[in-house]
Amino acid sequence: MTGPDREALERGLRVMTRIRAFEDRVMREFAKGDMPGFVHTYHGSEPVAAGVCAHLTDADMITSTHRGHGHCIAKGCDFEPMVAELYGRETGLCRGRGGSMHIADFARGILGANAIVGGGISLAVGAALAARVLSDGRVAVSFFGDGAANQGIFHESLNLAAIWRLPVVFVCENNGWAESTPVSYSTSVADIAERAAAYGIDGAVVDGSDYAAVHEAAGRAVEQARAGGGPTLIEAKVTRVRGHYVGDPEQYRSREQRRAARTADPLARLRAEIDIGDYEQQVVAELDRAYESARAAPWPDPAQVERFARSDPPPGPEPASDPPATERQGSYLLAVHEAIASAMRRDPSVIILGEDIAGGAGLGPPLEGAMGGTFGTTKGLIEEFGPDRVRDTPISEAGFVGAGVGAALADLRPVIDVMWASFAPYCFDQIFNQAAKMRYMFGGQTDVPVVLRMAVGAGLRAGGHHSDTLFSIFAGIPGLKVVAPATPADAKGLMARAVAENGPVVVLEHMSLYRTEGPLPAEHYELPIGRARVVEPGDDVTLIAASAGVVMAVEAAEALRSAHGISAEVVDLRTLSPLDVDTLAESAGRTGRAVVIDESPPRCSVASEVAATVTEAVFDRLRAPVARVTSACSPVPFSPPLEDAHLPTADRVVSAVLDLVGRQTK
Amino acid sequence: MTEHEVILPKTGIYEGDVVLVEWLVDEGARVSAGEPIFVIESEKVEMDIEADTDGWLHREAEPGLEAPIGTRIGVICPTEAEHRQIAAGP
Repeated sequence: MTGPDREALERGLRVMTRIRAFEDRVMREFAKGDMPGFVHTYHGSEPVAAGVCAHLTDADMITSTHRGHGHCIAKGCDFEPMVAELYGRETGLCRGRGGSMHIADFARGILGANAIVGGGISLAVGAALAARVLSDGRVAVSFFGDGAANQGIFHESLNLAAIWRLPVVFVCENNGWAESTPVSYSTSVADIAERAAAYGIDGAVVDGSDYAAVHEAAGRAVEQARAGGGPTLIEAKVTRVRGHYVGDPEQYRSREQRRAARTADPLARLRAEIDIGDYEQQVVAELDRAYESARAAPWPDPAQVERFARSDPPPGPEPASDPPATERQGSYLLAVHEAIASAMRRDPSVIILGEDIAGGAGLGPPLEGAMGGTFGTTKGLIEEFGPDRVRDTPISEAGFVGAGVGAALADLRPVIDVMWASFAPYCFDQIFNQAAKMRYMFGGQTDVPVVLRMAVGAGLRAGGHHSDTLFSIFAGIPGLKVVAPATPADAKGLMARAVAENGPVVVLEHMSLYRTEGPLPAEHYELPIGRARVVEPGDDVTLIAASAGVVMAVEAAEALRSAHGISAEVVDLRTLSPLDVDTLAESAGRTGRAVVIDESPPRCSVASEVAATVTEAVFDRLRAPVARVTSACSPVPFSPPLEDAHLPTADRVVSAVLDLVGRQTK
Repeated sequence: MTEHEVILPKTGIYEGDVVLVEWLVDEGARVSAGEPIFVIESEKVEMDIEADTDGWLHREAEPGLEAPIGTRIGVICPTEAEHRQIAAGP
């Protein structure tokens, strides 16, 4: 490929002129004090955004950084909604929910600036995965800085993109500084592009101040990606002309060094060669109008502070709260399997990915008898749906969860198997900062239809790294819906609903329940998220539980009835977030007592949340405080007597009820 | 008026008062965009503030001034003649 022709250079200079004028203006206006928060400008990197995005269409997707104005402008964003977003106004691109560091424009394929260093890299891999699965010719580009190249997610993402030969281009804008830490100190190689070799992909160093050079290198990489030739890592060396953020005292470099940096002007060369007339004045006038309009634009309505935090329920009426009646019996494991298989048959955009979910899929045929997940929940799916939709991953939780989230932004509905919930901290950024926040931060521009499956539960003598339930960790995150089914019929209906939901849903499958049997309707059905279920009616006390806790509650209810003449009502939460407050309040208000069973540790637990919620709702009808039966406040131990002591049991539930009854003095 | 206001700027997320520590250039000096022209203290950190346009500086505040973000402390005039006129006062 040859370099850009004169027309391309002129277009590039115009884009760079827009970026420069925008950022100069941001600095001036920010100084006045009425722009909230803080901003990072793109001075010095203009040729990179302009030269790369010159090869992209609106359908192509980019992920950006906290320093993302240049990427947005190069990808075609209008000034007016950008500036309004910088001022936190309702007319902003993200309706004021995101701001400069989380600006996004999905209509232009901008999947968001990302203020988590490296946060966008795996999302771009996922967007490219969607393009590959859907064979639609789209390309994804991830812009990130030199600091991000030292994040684990960079390495996981490059490996994933390489093994799957995805249509993605990684563009590292190396300005020499990660905030105040020089790249010479932080980075093991002279050129970050060398790291491409570690993953067997092409790497290229390019002078990021040279528009023609960036244009040529990016053109080659984008063409290769589009043609199925796989990813490229481009390292663009740029100068950090300004500070890390506007108002950075830049204590890490001297006045002389700062002065020298300020003189770098990557637009100078093209400006000397090409006359674009009064274009700059036109841009300034456009900015005048954008600032005038943004400052006059309405603020978001404080009454809408929670708007966009959770996805809307799927269209259509809410399904019945109970599963269809059936004579058929089946296991919890089969229930999960059937729900996923049925969702995949009904909707070609559903894919599944995770470690060992096919098991040996990378080895090619014969696939018959492939492992199908650690617990066998996805056994047989690779044979039916093929390796494109049933995708084994390397042990890269952050990478493949990020890829799943990115694919959810790009028209797929991924069901991701994280395997043990204890592994989820490796992908906490992808769950917490990305999947759960995006709809909100981007002002409702996108949904994130992704299902995160995790196996939870202790009692299998597996020790501290394979036994957690993490109920409150996920239930405490705004933006996530969390279900923890207790029966095969619920496991099937809630999984089916989770896939149909438009927002991220965490499905916690209890390991001790996989082999349990119960009624299991054969047909496809969904159960509503956010609806608890009265398992057994009772009069004297309400036992509230989820997942395997329901088994304990039923056992305790039986003991209370037979040994103590106490009638206990058992309520299965089914959904940990959002809680079904109405059902809980109705039951506890009627019985006057409640005990909450929770397999997670007690501090800030779902049990605590339920206790507070019930108390707030029906305090005047309670005859005793709400009691909690939780695991011990320790990691899950290995030694059997210790593990048994750690966990809640039916006996402890019975004791808690007897204690409540005894405390009743009024 | 075609002169360009020089203000105590917002730097980072701090929104409290800012101190003008010292001027780095003389009254009437010719300054160019990007040149440090005064020092402020904000949150106990001193930093240089650069001119954001070319011109002739007229100083209107003395070092030691502690004032809110956005307070005008001078102007940059596009011509020497305009500076003379402004410096002469109303």
